[in-house]
Amino acid sequence: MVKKGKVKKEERKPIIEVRKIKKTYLLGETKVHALRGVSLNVYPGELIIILGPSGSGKSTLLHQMGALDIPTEGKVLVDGLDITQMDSWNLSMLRRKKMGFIFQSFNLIPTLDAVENVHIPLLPTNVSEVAAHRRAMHLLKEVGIEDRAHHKPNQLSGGERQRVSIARALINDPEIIFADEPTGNLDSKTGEKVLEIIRKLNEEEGKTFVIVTHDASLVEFADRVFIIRDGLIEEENLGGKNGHAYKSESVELNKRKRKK
Amino acid sequence: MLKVAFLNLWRRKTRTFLALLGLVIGVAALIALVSLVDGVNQEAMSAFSNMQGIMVFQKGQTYMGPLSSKIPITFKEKIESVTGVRKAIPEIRITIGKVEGNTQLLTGGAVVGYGVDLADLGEGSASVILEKIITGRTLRPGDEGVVMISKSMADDFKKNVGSQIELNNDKYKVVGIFEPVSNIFGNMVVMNMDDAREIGNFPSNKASTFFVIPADLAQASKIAKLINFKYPDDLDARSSQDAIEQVGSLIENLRNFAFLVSLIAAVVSAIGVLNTLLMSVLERFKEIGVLKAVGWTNDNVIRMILLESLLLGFFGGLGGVLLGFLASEFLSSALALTSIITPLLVMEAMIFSISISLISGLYPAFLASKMEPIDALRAE
Ligand SMILES: Nc1ncnc2c1ncn2[C@@H]1O[C@H](COP(=O)(O)OP(=O)(O)OP(=O)(O)O)[C@@H](O)[C@H]1O
Ligand SMILES: [Mg+2]
Repeated sequence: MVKKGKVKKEERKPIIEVRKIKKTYLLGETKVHALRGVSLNVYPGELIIILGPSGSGKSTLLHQMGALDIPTEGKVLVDGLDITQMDSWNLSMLRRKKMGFIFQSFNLIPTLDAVENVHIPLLPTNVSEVAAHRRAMHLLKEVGIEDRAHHKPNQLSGGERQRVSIARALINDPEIIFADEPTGNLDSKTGEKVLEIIRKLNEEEGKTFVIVTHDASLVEFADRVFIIRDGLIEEENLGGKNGHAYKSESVELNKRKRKK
Repeated sequence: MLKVAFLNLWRRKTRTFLALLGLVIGVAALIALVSLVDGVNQEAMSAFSNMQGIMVFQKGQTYMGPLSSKIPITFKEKIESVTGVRKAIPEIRITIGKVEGNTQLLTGGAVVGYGVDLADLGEGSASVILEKIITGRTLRPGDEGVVMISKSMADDFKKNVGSQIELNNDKYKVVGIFEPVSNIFGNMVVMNMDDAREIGNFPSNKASTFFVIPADLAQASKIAKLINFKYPDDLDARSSQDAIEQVGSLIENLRNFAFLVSLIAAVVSAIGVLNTLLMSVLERFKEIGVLKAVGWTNDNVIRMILLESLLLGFFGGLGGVLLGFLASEFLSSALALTSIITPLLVMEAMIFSISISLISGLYPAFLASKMEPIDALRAE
């Protein structure tokens, strides 16, 4: 049974405030309502998980929060600033300075080796290439693949590629990291290793995470879990970090997803 | 950034190579054509600037050159009576059809015989060759049956000072070998006027041209006009300045024509570059979206694509200069013309290649900047 625990009002200022956002896509004549009025806050240091069946709007929500897209209605505030009013340059700067992204299919650049892929976000900045390289090497060490630094993506396993992309997400020392199904393309064992890295980054370095996943095991480390269905938040639950045993319930979540 | 741009081009080697090939050919065409035009220009200018005076042709025969012009000798006094003229020197030009019993081509490698009253040799239009004697001596007044030949002629027929050379049906003795002022003159034989008449079967009461020396060189252009004014039906006088201007504008046109031809090649290569970059950008829409997701701005993306086109332009230009150099060498030796590759031309060619490439890169760069991170991520 899922307990509907009301989350304690936070004293801290949220990093991200999502206010009644709607996202409507036009597919020819028909309108697709991907998000139909979603509100939530993300506080510094939290690890937030978004669960829900396929097509429920999880990725869409993540993209609006990560300044990759602008909602049709409503507001998204990042550090109190409304991103729906920003131009593309400011959005790029926001992503560059505050955000990191981890994708299901890694999205590494095939011509560059691991370390170059990690520091590519810094390439257009005034961080020197030497400093960027040094920092990238340090991050590769942190995710445990410094010995693969000069391998091209096609010479790396899926888990190694995802670790490269985690290192890339960390290169600008972001306040918040968004991950869309980070273990979706990995077998359960490599997936676990990746999740362990994410957990450590959250618990030991205090990085904020918003993660879309089907992977129940991560619920254990979460602060809060949102369940989204048909473009609406259906439930908000406390995660395992707050003393909730999720092991059994997560199975139920998966079941629910399959039914849909 | 440079490395990323370079690797982007490198990943589709064949396609990049084809785009480069287009540029290389365009630039090589530019270099080869313009270097030849510049070479001809320099030749012509040095040839003319060595003839400070007025050349008088038979009216209507100027375009065939001195070889077809024939003027009665009696005009010597008439021209000398024109105000400002110090002296009019009759000269004879003939083509020599047979050398050493071999029939000579009348174009390109034609052998030109040049006959002058040897007393006037030092002042006539061929006076400059007197400073260019390599071996032997110059002709002296009273010389008969002896000739000076140009270096190329000596080489072609393996002659030395003291050798006999058969011109048409008579034998002459070589007394001097000279370096021609310009390749334009090719194979040349200088001799006494009467010998020239005999070899060329040239009428004794005529000359090919008169070389007119004005009292004041600065007045050459005016005096030429005066001669034309006095003898409008018989003579056509041209000062060397007039000739330089005339040839100069002709060459200017040639140079522009060479640029135009290269421009057509450029359009072709621009299409190649455009195609390469456009395809590469369309293929990479996902990567470009990811770059934007991780914080690249539109400007950063534009800069990367333009850097790629700049690299194409630079290497295309470099290859083109090299190939152009070879083509220019080959053409100049095949056509027996001089070609000059000036640093200016090399710079023009590089700028040409880089700007074509950059212009072709504008649209792909713009297209890339319009790619949204979200579209890239959705394509999973
Ligand atoms: N560009 C688009 N144009 C039209 N409809 C879209 C577009 N992007 C998303 N949608 C629709 O919006 C809805 C939500 O999509 P979204 O990708 O957010 O789902 P999701 O929860 O991430 O699903 P999954 O678990 O399969 O990744 C879906 O019905 C989808 O078809
Ligand atoms: Mg999704």
